[in-house]
Amino acid sequence: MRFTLHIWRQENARAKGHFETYEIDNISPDCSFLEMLDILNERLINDRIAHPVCFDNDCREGICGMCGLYINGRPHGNDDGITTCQLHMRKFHDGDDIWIEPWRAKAFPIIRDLVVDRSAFDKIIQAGGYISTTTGGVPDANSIPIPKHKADMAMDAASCIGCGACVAACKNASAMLFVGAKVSHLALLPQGKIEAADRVKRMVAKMDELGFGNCTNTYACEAECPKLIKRQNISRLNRQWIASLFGRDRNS
Amino acid sequence: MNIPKIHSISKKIFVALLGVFLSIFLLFHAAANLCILRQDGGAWYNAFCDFMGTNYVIKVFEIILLGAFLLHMVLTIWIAFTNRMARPKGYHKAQRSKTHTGSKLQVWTGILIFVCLLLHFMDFYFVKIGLVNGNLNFYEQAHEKFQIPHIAISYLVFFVVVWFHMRHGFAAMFQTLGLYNYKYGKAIEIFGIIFATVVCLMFTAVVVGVYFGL
Repeated sequence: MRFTLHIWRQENARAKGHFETYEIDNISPDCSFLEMLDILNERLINDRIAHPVCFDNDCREGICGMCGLYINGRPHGNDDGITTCQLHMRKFHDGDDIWIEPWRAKAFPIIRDLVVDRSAFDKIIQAGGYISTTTGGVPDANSIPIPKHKADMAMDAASCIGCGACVAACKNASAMLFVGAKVSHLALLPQGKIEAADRVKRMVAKMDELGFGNCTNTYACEAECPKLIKRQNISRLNRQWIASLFGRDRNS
Repeated sequence: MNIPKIHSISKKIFVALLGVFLSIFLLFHAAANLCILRQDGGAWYNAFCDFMGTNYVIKVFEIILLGAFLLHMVLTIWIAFTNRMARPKGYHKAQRSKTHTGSKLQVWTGILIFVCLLLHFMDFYFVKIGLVNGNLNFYEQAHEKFQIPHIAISYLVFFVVVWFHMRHGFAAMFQTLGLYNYKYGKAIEIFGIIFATVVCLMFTAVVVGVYFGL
């Protein structure tokens, strides 16, 4: 297969970026998108055309949340419930023009080319996305009964890999689905309920401080989440927030 | 002086609560308007208008209503401004994610409603409070206005815009107030469509009824 790639190139965070066009051919339809970029980089290096294109990647099996490219107007490209590394070139047509951009958000500054700094997510987690309990020894699995549907919902929320596609897709660069998922998977379980009010306050305050936008219920986040996390987690976040306004603060 | 920080979710909750208030008002307004269709020479409708214009509780309510409308608008503009700041540089390729059309139109339908509402006030509310000269018999005023084709069509377009705004706003309201869940999510969306449709059909019935002399 043959493609015309338009890739965002930017030397560093302060430099002015621009699109660079590269022609690439002899690509197998079974090649993954990141493998295609590897092939491009190999050619750029071997033929001394330009510096290789920088892009984040790690596990390449859809579980680490490192890869994240905005491809032809969609985070993670033209497929549902996948990360960029799970996107294959057979999803494109031979001769297609492919536009590759980095995640765009004030809270995700560009480091270089397609690599963005997503440490804002880590800061939100550090603000309250944990349980500060002394765990002691390993308890018996059934010592705290948890209803199956709650365990399932908590597990679904916990499947968030923090890739940032929700922020990238949202027209407001809002991180509500991410924060909703992180708040939900703890708040749904008995161990997480104790600090629920304090947690939601701290995480939302940090989210606002870092410059993420407000949710306007567009649900592009839900449509593009590679782990298919649902908007109900945003609703739960709102519910938790309202409850926290009337709840008792752990540190107060 | 320290201005207390209003968190993003709190702002949205205010917008949603004001939306609930305005939706309930619209339902009452639409129900009252149906009196225009009664063949009683405007006895019921004018009595209603007289009550609305003279009752002091209603006068206070009018101020609250206007305040709610303005606050709904100001908070939305504030949210839109913050959202614009959250992505200083946009994408080159237009977004192709599967999203609700209504949500993308919400700000625009809101602006259109504001413009249409000003025109509506010129016809009725500003006449009532004496800012504009006009017929204080609102039954006659409605018959006069709605029989002019371009005014009748303008009002129908206004109701379509209101429908789009309420259709998205209703479910969004539940989502923001944390009431949208796995069990009732679909039902809330369907009820939102029904509510928006019923309210707008009530308004439409009056304009169409007067225009065709029903």
